[in-house]
Amino acid sequence: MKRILFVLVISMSSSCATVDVGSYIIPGETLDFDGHYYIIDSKDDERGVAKIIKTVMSEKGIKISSGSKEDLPEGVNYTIEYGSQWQWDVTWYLLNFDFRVYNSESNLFIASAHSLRTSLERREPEHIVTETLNTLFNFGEMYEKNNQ
Amino acid sequence: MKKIISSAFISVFVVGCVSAPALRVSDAEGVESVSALGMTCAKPFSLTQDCSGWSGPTKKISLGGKIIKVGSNSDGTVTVLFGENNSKATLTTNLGYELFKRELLSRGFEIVKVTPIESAGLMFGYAVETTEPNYQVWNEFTVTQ
Repeated sequence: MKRILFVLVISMSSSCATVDVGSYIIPGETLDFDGHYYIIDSKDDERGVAKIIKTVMSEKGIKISSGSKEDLPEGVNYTIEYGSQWQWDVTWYLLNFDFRVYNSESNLFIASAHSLRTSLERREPEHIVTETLNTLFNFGEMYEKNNQ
Repeated sequence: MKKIISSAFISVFVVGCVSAPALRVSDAEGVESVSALGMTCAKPFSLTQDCSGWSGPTKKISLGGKIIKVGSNSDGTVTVLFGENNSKATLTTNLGYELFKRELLSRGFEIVKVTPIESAGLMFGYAVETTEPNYQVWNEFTVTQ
């Protein structure tokens, strides 16, 4: 596809300072903050991103556990899949982070959150995960709700 | 032509950021990817419906408020979907795939293979193969712009 060559030339020569953080939820769907979330471990996760997600979510008061798809415990409301793309530019940094939530019974996609931070906008993975999940869960609102 | 493309790529990689494999959805983990640059309508997916040699799939559909482009092989069992062709291609493509898959699963389709289509660290699309023809499903989501 020839057009892609132009896309690559333009994007890669000008994309070293890009930040895009956001989330999406299927219209009509909601996420229950009091539900039980379960991270399905990714075999591609060599840098412990699942552990960071787990730490961030549990610190915010969300019930979270993790493991393989086959070991899904009873009582789980949502499963989570995630992906990370690491890039080398003097040091390794987290370029892309993708977080997806599914209904544990139907396996249907419900919501996602993402982060794109290129080299000049790099941050620690903990910062990126927190910032990304905040766009989906709105931790400030959760904190107020839990402390009323 | 090949020389031009090679030169462009070398230039891009020298001045731009070093690229790593694109972030892919879990259904495509472990599947050998297809080069978005090297792909044509004929190869490797034999796309005879809604495909352009210049830009790939051409049929625009709207799923959950997001626009993706699709094209298909003759019997409609392999649909190639592309997100937006820009620096955020990976994010839009991966979300597009999830919305696409959600629609298929809710209609009882079984996905047998998901092939990632990527180049230079960006995910441009996926080829989704189902046991039964799926392409007619997307007619009702077509948008005209």
